[in-house]
Amino acid sequence: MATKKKTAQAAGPATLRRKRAVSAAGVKPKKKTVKARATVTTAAKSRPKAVATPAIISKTKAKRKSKGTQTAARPTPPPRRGGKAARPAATGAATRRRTPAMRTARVAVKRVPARLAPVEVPQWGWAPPALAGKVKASVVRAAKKPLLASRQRRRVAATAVSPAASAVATVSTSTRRTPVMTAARKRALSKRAQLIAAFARRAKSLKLTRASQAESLPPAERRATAASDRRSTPRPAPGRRAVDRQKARRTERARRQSAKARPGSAPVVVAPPVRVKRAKPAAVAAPPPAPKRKGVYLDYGPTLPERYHDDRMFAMVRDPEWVYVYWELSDGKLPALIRRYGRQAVRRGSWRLLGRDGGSQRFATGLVAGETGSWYCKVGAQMTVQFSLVLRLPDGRAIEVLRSNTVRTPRLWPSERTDAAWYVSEEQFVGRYISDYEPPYTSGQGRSFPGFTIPVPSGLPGSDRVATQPAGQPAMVFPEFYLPENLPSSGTSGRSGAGQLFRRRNLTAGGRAGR
Amino acid sequence: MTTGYVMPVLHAHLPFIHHPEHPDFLEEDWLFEALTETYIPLLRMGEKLRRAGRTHALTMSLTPPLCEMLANPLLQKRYQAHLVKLHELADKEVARTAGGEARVHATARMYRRNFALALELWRGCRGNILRDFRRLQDANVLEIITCGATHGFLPYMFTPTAVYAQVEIACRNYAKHFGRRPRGIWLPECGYYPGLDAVLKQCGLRYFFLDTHGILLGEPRPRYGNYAPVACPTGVLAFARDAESSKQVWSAQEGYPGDFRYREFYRDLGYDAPYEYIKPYLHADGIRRNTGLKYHRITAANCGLGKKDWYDPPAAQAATEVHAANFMFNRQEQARHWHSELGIPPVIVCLYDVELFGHWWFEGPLFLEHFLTMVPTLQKEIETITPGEYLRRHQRHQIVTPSYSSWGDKGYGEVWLNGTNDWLYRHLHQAETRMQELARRFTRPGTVQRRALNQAARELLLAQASDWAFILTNKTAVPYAMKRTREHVHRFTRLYQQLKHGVIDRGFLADCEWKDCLFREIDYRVYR
Repeated sequence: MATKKKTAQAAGPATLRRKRAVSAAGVKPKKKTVKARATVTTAAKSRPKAVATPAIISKTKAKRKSKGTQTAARPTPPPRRGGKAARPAATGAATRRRTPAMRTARVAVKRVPARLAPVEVPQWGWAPPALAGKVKASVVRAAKKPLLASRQRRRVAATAVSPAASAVATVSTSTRRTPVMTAARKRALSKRAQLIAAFARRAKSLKLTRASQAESLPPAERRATAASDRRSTPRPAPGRRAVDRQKARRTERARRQSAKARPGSAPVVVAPPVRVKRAKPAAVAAPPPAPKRKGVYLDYGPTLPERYHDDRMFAMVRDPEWVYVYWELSDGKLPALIRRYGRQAVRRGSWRLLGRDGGSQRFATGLVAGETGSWYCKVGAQMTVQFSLVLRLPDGRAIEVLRSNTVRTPRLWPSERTDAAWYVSEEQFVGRYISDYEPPYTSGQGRSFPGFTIPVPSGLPGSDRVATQPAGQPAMVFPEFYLPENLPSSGTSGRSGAGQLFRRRNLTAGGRAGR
Repeated sequence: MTTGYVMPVLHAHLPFIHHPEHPDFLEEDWLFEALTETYIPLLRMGEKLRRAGRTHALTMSLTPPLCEMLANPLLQKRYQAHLVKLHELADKEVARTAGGEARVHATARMYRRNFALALELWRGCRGNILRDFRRLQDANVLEIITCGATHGFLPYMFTPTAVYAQVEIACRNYAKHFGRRPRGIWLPECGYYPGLDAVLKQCGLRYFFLDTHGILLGEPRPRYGNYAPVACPTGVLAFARDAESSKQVWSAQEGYPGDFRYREFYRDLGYDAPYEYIKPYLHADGIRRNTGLKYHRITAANCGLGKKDWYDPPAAQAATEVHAANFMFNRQEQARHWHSELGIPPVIVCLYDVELFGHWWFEGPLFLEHFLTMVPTLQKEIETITPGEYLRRHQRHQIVTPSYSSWGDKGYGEVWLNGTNDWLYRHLHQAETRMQELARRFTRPGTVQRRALNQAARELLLAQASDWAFILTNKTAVPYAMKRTREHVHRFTRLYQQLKHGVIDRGFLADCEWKDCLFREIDYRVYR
């Protein structure tokens, strides 16, 4: 059990890094790529440098299968659409011999010079522009290795998972020299041409769709929409077969590792990799998805933009204790922060919502989403509050990025002030109007009349600080902010921010963190 | 000697629902049902009071969207067709029930008589009942006040300019329909925040209404609690709701409407009758819905719909008389108590949604009629009064800053700001900012530009209606509320972009004007 825990813990951060790498670059993790390269180099040394594009590789593989060259250890793939059905795999070392078909395929493999021409990677998909070079390099590196082990070939194919990427890479490299036009080469070319045509159609339709949607937007919003589209285009999910293969590989690796660690002992159960989701925006402006009903068409109207690309932070008083804040950053805000504090610092920094009352007290929430979001904050009655969106950098500095309007929460109990000309004592007032009156709102902290006693149940924030408030003076308790999960009524919870308990921050004036 | 005043205030509001693009639209029924069951019976009651020489009997807010719908020719035409059909159905029902259960037949005849009277009144005023309301106001029977332009919840507006626009447009619309500027306002959802009175003052309004805690938690302590109006720092007066009288009428359990003799709302002929029989009186989609003809009474507490007894109209009418007398007695007691306690004649402000009388509580208009008739004839202790008349008689008021409040659930803004509807405000606030930007930018617009600017203002106002957020919270007609909000924001945004880029799509503009055709008199410059 202890081993299991240890393995899971050890696997966690590494998995997280890999996941981040995948999500950032849209390619397989660096670690795996390196491993694949290391495996390949020995084989590549003895053979001339050549490029086998994934299309060609798969063609060759199909050919081999059709001639019965598959080894017994490899699973027999299902028949390809439009191709011949794979025969039962032959067994024995004889299958490793080169068949004429294989030789033909080898001929089709094109040599490329050591320096490659720049490869264009389409920018509409999942690859961010800054990391396009890495995609390109990995595609090309993988394509250089003609005789990879099948497992590695599959990985290469997965690396260039976008047909568009593989097609473009193929086109760019194949223009360097005219290959010998064999039948296999022709078939490969026709296959490639189909891929290119499919990609072109897809890209065109995407552009057209985007253009038609964005034509009514002003240029700045159009650019921003295009950028958000690029970011939000999902990476194609791996197929069922690929998932099965991944599972099988993982199990095999775990079995080997356990056998290696303790020869003769029982295999160690390896926990599946921990999936860590990145913090989502606390709220999006778009309304929640409409519930679907079978057979009934419900018109929910046109969709509204998720954001307006403005700097805005606005606080609204919901009731005497809760304030709702929403915010949004303009497009130029994050790049400006990155220019000033560095990309890594901004990326690794945490976004917090900071509230301050009229005096000097300042309190912060847990993590919130950065660019756009909303939050319900419990601030207490009769408070004048202003909120700031703060980026807390890894070195401890807190940068105030946005500031809200100032709001005042209403009182929960009658005023302590009375007018000389219209004098009414506290006892009179409470006895006449309050004792029989059932207030519509009851505080979570149980404030009551008369005498302005404020019994705070133990366990609630502020219980150690407030006992009885002297009459004639408003209570200046400023409870810390609550996470949305603690909201008292249903249906009012804030959207998901990062879900860890907040801690009070001693932030000094000017947004700098005090230590 | 008068020991106290009773100030009944009825709030009449419906969101603007006008769909000329559809020959038959379900949500338009909200207006038709309210007309048949509430507005027309109240008009008939007001007319009786006028003939009896009663004055200062009632205060009523008619919101601008409701006034615009009542004055809309298409909706007038559709309502007349609806009423004719109902009358036809009632005719059939009288024939069907003849010879059967006597109570059922009496109920059918009651419906036929009601529909006939409604049709007569409707034809008599040529479909424009606003004129009749105006006549009652001119005769001092009724005091009509205004409301926010589209019933937007004012505490959640982004800028004071948007609040001003809501109030000012409402005042201009009131002047269009009633021939003068309003003196008072029903704040949408009674939503008040400190500082709002300055905007009301700017628009020439003299008083408004609040929920009880709005004044009880005011600053400084109000000496007379909620039994006398207070003056805000700007001099605008605030009347606070009386909790006791509200509860007696509002509460379904303890209140009068829960009496077993009264009509049951949820059992309707639309569901009980054979489908082929009722189909011609349903909407085009053929789905069974309420027709307004109901034959059962509440019968007992927690009684299933299948076990309801027949409705007996004479018994229910007798109950309204008893309840009206009881209501008057309780107000007398209340006035006597507070008069002795405070030394001034207290004003008991009874705030109700007008749809309670007639729509939800079928006998409500009759109850009101009995009460308003009894008060001047059966006793001398209390009298009904309108705010204008009260201010004429009493000029000295304590200065108090009321507290942020509303009359919604829990007394503040949670009904209009929670997880189901908070996404709205980002869009509404952005639209507000953009509207102000347009108003400042276009100082001398051309004809088409002016039309587009005015239409943009209309779309913004319609999107701001508090009804959509309310419906999203209560989960009643969620798809429609979402559609309406999104559509108005979307149309506004398109108009904004077209104006900004100098290319106005006239077809689109005309389409918007055709559908959202309220506030013909609007002037976008109110947003400057």
